[in-house]
Amino acid sequence: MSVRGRLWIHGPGRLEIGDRVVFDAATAPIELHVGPGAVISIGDDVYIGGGTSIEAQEAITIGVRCIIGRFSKIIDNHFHSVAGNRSERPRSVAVVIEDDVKLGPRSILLPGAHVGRGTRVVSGSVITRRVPPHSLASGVPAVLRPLPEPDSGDPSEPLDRSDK
Amino acid sequence: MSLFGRLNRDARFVFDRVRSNRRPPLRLQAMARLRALALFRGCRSGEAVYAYGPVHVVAEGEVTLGARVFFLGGMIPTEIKCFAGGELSIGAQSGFNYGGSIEAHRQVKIGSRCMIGSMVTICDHTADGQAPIVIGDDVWIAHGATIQPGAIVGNGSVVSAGSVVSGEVPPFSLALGNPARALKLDLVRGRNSR
Repeated sequence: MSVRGRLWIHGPGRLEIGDRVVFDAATAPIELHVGPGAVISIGDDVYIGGGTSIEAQEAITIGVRCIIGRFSKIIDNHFHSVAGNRSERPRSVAVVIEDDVKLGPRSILLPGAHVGRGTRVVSGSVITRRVPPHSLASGVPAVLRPLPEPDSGDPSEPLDRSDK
Repeated sequence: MSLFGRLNRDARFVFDRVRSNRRPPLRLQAMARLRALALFRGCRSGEAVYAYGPVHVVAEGEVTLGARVFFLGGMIPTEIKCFAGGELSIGAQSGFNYGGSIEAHRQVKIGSRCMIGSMVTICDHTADGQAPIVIGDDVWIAHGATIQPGAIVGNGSVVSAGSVVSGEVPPFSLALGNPARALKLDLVRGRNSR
């Protein structure tokens, strides 16, 4: 594991970090907030960009070889009810990011997000539900379409030009 | 421990406490109060304004804060900017999470008891011009939303995470998407987990 800049870990829950994980917090600190009884599990060879905030009240799982772009937000609880008493906390829904997923900068994963293996999330997208493997998710809320085959040599792959 | 390290430790503590709806200890409340007094000196500020984390304040225009407005600490400082000739008013008991940016070149009005989430951008100025922004009472603006010039958000509405609002959001509705469209809040009641 290597950390550039400040990594802010708080909360009493359990945090599991795999091998060779990179926290690139040179521009802005990275926050890992593990609530009581919660688990954040980060797989091997994951890259996490600066300004990213991962907040678990139940469980957030990140698979191996994922790239999390800078200023992303991953939460498994909204912390406030949409209607009624705003200081009431709704129930948590676990968030899963499978292996080889690339999240663009500023992407937001809300409770219930389950990003399938090999999926790419375009920068600034918002994901609230299950995304099938090998798809391209873009927009607010995210529109899903199949990812072009990796061997097709398509030069217009959106995330290749992003700044992680 | 250095002063910076100590402030940083305090910020974490307050962050956990405020998130869990418990009151921060008196010492930290006092520090937040003093910080707010220093930051908003010269502004028209109500009683008991708290700044638990770093806030960058530009108050060239007319800034009005209601009573018990609070700014939470976090990884990234909050920006409150009111430029010359601008007017920024924030209603009582409204709260701001970390990393937000509120810019008033002409007029930004935020109502009472609003919850402004982390990394929210509210700016009444673009290259195309300026238009006032009005945000009603009891509005919740979630993480990463952008409020553009001319936006009017009605009382009790929710702007969901990452949305971009440039038009009118009726009262008690849920605005989502880019560009945002509004749904009645009654229809989404009971789907709080989403």
